[in-house]
Amino acid sequence: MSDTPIEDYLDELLRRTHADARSTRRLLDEAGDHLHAAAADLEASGLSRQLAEVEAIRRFGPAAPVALATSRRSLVALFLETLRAALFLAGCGLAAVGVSGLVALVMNLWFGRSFVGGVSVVPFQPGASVAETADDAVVLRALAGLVGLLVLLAYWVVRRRASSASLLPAGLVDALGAAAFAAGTAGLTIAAVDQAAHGGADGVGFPLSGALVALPATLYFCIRAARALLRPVS
Amino acid sequence: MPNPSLKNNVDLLLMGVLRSGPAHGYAIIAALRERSDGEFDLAEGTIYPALHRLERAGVIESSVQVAQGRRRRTYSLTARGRKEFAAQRREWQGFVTSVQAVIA
Repeated sequence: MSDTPIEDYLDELLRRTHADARSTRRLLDEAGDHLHAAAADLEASGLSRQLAEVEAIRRFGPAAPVALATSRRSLVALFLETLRAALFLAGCGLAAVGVSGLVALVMNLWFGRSFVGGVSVVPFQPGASVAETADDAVVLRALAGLVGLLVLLAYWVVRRRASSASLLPAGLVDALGAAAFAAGTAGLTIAAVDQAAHGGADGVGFPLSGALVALPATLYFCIRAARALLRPVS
Repeated sequence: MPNPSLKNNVDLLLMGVLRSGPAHGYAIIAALRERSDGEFDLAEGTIYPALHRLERAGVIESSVQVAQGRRRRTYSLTARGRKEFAAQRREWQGFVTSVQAVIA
């Protein structure tokens, strides 16, 4: 028999409870308080300390159902938080596409439409003219950006109603955002280089306008992730 | 002896105990045992997830009290909880009356 049955029980409860930090801490606080109070009463009635702790644990019941009942709610909360995170990242992604549309507009004005519209492989509209491609790169991306802003607005509303207790590890969402934008930066830069190798300056602006937005977005998410990871635990 | 119908009525029982006044988890269990003459042999730990659920539903509220250097979370019924308790008690009493009428 262990010398510290209550401590062992609380360790097991901690191992089994897959909930957010606050729920877990609260459950352990209350369980510890309950078990020590019960053991003190049993000890006062004549049991040895060790037997009193064992009996208090028996009355408290197995750790598994207590942990499961706490975790069950947290799985729903985890799903909702993941959904919120997906909303945030999708909103940021679409907003970035919108900004790249504005960059494409600037490129059209400064370098001429062929810089953006002269791309050799046009997604969604094969056979479109250079002017159409250049204009679509602005208009369609701007529309995507507007949708992104609406998604971010929805995220902001949902977040205001959500609990501040977080189930996802600190910095995870930002790290995912950084990874996604880094992949975008790399892919679009390679496409721009490939376009330049095959068609000179024509069409380079199409992927380059995206890469120019994806790069600062990558840095922004990297900084957010670093801040979240380095933030002292309060 | 474990009571099979107890599990389904934990919320009503917890509200019933808290109707008398604020109490922490250990005191709630002691009151349940005392008022049922030891009939309600509930695994004590299971009341905490139930209390947390009731609190999220706004039926009860909790605050941390410090007594003899120990922090203890005390639960009390909210105004909404009192209404909920009255409604559930009426339902339960109606059910008991109906069962009595059948088996008498």
